[in-house]
Amino acid sequence: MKIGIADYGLGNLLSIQSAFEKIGVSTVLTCKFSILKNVDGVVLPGVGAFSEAMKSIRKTKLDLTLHKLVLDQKKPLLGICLGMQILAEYGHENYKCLGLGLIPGEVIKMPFKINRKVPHVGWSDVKIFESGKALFQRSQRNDSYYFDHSYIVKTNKINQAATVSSDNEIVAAVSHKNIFGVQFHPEKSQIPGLRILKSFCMHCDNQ
Amino acid sequence: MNAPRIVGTIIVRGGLHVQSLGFKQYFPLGCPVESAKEFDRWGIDEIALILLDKNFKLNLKTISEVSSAVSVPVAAVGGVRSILDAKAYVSGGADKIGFNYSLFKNPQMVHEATKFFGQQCIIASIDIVHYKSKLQHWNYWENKFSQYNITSLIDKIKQVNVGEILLNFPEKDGSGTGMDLVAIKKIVKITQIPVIALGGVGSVKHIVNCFKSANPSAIGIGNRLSHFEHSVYLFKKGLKDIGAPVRTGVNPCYDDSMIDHDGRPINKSEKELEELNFQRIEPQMP
Amino acid sequence: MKVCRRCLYSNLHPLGIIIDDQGICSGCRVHEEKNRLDWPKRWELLEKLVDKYRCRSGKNYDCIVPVSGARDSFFILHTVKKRLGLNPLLVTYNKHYNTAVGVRNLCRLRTKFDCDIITQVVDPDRVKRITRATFRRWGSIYWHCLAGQTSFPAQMAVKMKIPLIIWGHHQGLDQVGMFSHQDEVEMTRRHRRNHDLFRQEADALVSDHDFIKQVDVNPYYYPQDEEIAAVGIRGVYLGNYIRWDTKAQHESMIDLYDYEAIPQTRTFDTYNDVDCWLHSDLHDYIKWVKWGYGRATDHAIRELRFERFSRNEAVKVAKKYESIDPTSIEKFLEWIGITRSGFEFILNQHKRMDIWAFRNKKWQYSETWSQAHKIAFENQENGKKKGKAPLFRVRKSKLVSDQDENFILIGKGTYENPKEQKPINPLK
Repeated sequence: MKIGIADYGLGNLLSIQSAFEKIGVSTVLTCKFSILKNVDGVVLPGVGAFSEAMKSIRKTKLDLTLHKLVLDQKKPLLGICLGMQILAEYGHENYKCLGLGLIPGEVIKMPFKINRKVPHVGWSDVKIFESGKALFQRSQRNDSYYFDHSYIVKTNKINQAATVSSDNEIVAAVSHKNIFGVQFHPEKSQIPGLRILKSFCMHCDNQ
Repeated sequence: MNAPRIVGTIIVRGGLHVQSLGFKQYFPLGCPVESAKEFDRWGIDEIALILLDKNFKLNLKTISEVSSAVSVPVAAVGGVRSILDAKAYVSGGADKIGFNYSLFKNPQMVHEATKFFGQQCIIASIDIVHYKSKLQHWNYWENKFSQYNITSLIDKIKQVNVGEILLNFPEKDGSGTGMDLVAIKKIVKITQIPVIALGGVGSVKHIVNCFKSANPSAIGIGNRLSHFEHSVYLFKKGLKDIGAPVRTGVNPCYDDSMIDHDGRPINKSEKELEELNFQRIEPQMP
Repeated sequence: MKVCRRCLYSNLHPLGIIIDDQGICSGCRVHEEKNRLDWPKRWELLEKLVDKYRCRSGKNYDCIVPVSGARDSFFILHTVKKRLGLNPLLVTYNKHYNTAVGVRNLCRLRTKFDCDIITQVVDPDRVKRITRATFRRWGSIYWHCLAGQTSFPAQMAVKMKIPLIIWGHHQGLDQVGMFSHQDEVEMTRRHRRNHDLFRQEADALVSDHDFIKQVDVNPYYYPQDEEIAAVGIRGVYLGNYIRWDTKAQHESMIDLYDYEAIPQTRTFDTYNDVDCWLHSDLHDYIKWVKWGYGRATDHAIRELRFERFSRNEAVKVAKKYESIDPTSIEKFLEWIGITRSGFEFILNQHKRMDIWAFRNKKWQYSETWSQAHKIAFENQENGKKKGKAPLFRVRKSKLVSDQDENFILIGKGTYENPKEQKPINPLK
């Protein structure tokens, strides 16, 4: 089992790498198609702003690579935090910007709501839907995960794998065919986070 | 909403984790990585590194060693004077960066940082003191009060568009006598930005009172976490027992124990201890 | 590099130390509490704490007290049994480097206090292999003692379901002001790993290169979190509740219980490490090579803080003792099976270049070190010495059952009443 972690120059990939190490899975950090085409699954991390991430992705031609891997080869893909957000069609951070378009929907600033603090930062548990079964297959009741974001993904209900229990407007995870995304940070969520990564690897194994 | 976070605060001076008293006196504890490892294993929700040195290389070393040793988010506060510094911190492993001095001396740069790293990555760290029964903002680099009152201060922070506010209370720091509930409540009320309150926690009661009356998003605990074994487990168990919302880890340590108001475990009865001779103590597996 | 203006510690202390804007170190600051805190009130806190752990049915011990043939064991047991009225189980880790005096003191301890004791003697071959490895890796010949002395009591507490472990003083608090007395700090795995064991747990030693297997390090494991939590183990320090003064304490133990005290090689303190051939000898010599100062400095600083030495006297005494050659080196090399040249080679690798410099064909203190100490000397705080020089008593038994020439693994410990001899005056 080998997982490819997409390296497009943004953010700290080492935490994700060591999280996979903890569950005994080896990883490779690259943006090259020639290497990624041989892995069992791809992880798309993300730190920073939507527009900055998309700039770097286009620069490294990772957008084309991902399209080939995910749409042609049907390789499983897991987007993490901003990595999940850029799977959408559009983002609105700083300015309106095209995403990867791998999942229907767009990314908007969290709307104002009484008692809602922005960014959504802290540990939350989630409500899992039908499409989330694969991703959350190893999760236990009361597992919570670390979120830290000001923007949320708006997508069709069928693509919502999970929402935040205490605020169902916040999509916690998405799922669309072989494409998955988690708004939270599994590599920063201690054991519950490791369970998510393990589930993803098990899914990759079954393909 | 979410369970409020307990943030393990590690104050670093000269590469050492130190206890702090009023941010004036410091006492050495040991290697910050060792402290961070313990907090992480005990179920802390987040770790904040308060870096008090001007030695950038040393700060970077601390950040990278701590972040690679733990599996919770690490915020690095202090020692960042430019976007380049911030980039180094983030590549070194920091999940969030905190600014104090630069917030006031170079707010443009901090605003740039929120655009580059995303708002959620940036923390405004401010020191609040009481003077003539009013809340005042303290500039540590000038050793005097700033021109801002609390409202104008929060407005200024809002303009910069940070993701969180770290409220430090130097007068409470290291006292272990409780938090500044009045100030925290006031600030939490006037802003939508999540607040981390830091300074004065000595017991479970202090944490409960703060969440109940002031309701910040997170409470930072500093010195106290290093005073006894399993402090995080015990504080969280104490909170759970009172019915306060808290993220309890997967680990069942202390599930069947009682905690005193100080956060130390109350001894089990002789009968319970005798029965332990016939029970299997299971280590937790992920 | 900075040196405290009041005591002699520099900020290169192995435990870490903070020197404040007035040039005074954190250790001295915490020591000031000794003259400020309400000690009778703190004693009441201790009584309240231990009272909860009394086993009223009498079916089990009230607490565990880790002891040895030295180091305030008598005072701790006197406090626990006589003053607090607790029923302790004594536990001791056999250090292997035992002196005849140490064996006698330990025998005397359990007899005079009428206590049950459980001893752990790890197989010598195992201990030697481990010590060869710890010396090679970390320049430490004392690792197994530190690891065993802290793991054995905790393991026993878990096995026997005795939650309370009572220690004497906290070394970090006393030397460098790691904690305030009011923090009521308790024993932690972290402190052991960070400060005693070079930031590694025991299984870091397992290696084919050193011929150490998993089973060899079993005695040195600290219990798991789940075990500590299930039993509710707490290790408390008497030093948080009693105005700790080891010199005065030992002297009263000599009078009450015939504690034996003998001169040491590299320090004037005749009380603290009488049970070990190496602690104030080769182990201290190694400390001097690694850190630039020895136990005599620690002891001089301790007496200085109690205002029994002036700062200049402390400097003089420390200097006098730190360059004394260790006398037990051959005994140790024979025991561990390393050659002299091998030993020197490994030791030299642990010499720090910010402390030492090779000048004029010999090793001397570096410029930085000498300069920092000079500045502190010139700017020293105005001295506050009270009274004459502190004397350290010497008291030894004449008719005894064990040999006094080499390490004793397990001795008889029988003795005739000890005789007082001429005390040591550190300044002479």
